[in-house]
Amino acid sequence: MRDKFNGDVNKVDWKGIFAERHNLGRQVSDGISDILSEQKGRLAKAENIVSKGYDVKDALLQNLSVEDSAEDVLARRYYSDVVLGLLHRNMALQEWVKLSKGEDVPLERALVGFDLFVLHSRTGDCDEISNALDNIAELFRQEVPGHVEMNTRDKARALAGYLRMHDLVGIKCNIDENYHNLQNNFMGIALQGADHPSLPLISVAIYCCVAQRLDLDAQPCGFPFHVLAIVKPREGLDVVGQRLPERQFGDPIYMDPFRSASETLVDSLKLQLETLGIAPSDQSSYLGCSGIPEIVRRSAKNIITSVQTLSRNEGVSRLSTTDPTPEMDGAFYSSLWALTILAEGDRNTTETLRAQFLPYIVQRIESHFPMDVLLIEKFITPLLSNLPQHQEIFNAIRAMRDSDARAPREVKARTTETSGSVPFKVGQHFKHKRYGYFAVITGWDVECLAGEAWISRMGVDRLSRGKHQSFYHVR
Amino acid sequence: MGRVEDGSPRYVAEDNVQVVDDEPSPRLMALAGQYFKRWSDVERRFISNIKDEYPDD
Repeated sequence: MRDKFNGDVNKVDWKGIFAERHNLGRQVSDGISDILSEQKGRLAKAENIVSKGYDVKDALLQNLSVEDSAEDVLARRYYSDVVLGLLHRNMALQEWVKLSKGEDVPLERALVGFDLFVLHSRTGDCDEISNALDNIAELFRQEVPGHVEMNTRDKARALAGYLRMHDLVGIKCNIDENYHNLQNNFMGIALQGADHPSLPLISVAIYCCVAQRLDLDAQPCGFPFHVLAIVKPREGLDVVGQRLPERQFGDPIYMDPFRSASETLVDSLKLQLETLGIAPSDQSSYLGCSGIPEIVRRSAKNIITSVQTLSRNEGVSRLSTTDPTPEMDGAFYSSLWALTILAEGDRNTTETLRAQFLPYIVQRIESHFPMDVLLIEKFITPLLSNLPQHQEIFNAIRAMRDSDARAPREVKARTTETSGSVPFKVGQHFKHKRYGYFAVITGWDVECLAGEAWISRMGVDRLSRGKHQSFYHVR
Repeated sequence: MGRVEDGSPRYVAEDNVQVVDDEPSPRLMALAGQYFKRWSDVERRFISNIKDEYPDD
């Protein structure tokens, strides 16, 4: 549907589009109402919405911003966000799977996958990022009018200078402190405007994506410790525009937009490689273009490093969905998926790597992303075989499917007996007398049903009535 | 046990529960949507959306 906006105004059936859109909107709202109506069968209902295609996003956003006075406001917003997340992650995984099969995926579509895991209702999905990059390229064309005549080297430098001047790349303040900030790993967040810092990898990605729109052949080069851009002149020319014999390619130049607008000389790069103990005969692979899968893997590892750094600095709690900083959970989760799908190596190696990551993915699905059983079924089961560690994954999937089909596990009606011994009700807001935090009751048991290990760890027996009092599930 | 309201599932003894009338924080409001329809200003509690599990609450 979005493509139609680019077509000829007179040829487009606007009335038909609006009808279609209205109809889709209603289907989505009804689908959300369906999900809200009971706990059972939510997986199929969510899948049904997502299967209608990415166009459902607009309707999901509308449901997500339903007015405060709506009778089911909190539930509708919550589950619209859940389904939107599923839609986003489905999109991200589709692109990564294509990459894993050797298909061509543009750099921006590959990297926006990470953004999609933490995006929620913010601006910055694939289309929005592409538009932002188009706009930057257009502004460059307007502000740097001589660019058409420029040779490769001058254009490469002019672009780096332009991006740096407009704070679209690099980290402006307190590089050392802020280097591992989680937000520096996300292309969409970096493109939101001035003052949004980005790691070298993201800075280079932005540089390359804009460069390609300006007919400049720039691609990421996964140099050790610090990603660079490798810029190649056109066939038959060198970087200063001199003719070369036909079919010959001139030497490339290297740019480091994170650090500067000037060229990085290949000799200094070779020297660095030598210092790292890499012999001249082995150096060419470090000086060439990295494949896009390698860049995605590298970004995933950067995210993991940022999350681990954040976790070490204490006091970081789970962030709200309106917070522009990406949540740690979502970010870490995106990296697990990227490293699993894009696991590199021969068959044995990839199987082993995946077997390592999958239990962590399953764990997160069980605790935070229950709908993602759908994504495992779609994207992971084709990769699995009869190995014992894979059997565990199949079991986990089946358990989650069963749980969804039978939900709720138990119906807890109030008898005259329980009414007396369970004084508090689902939905009550309370303060924890001992720890002081506020929470809401989401369920109850007539007595403590936790295992002995939990009971002794929590000191339950030190309470006046110990485990023989009502206990409450809370959030 | 954290003092931070991070929305993780917890299990609390009756002795430790002190019901309050206060309007929940925005974060709690957002998380509550998993189980509740809305916060009722009048009744000073969340309106349940898990009647299939707790029909009488």
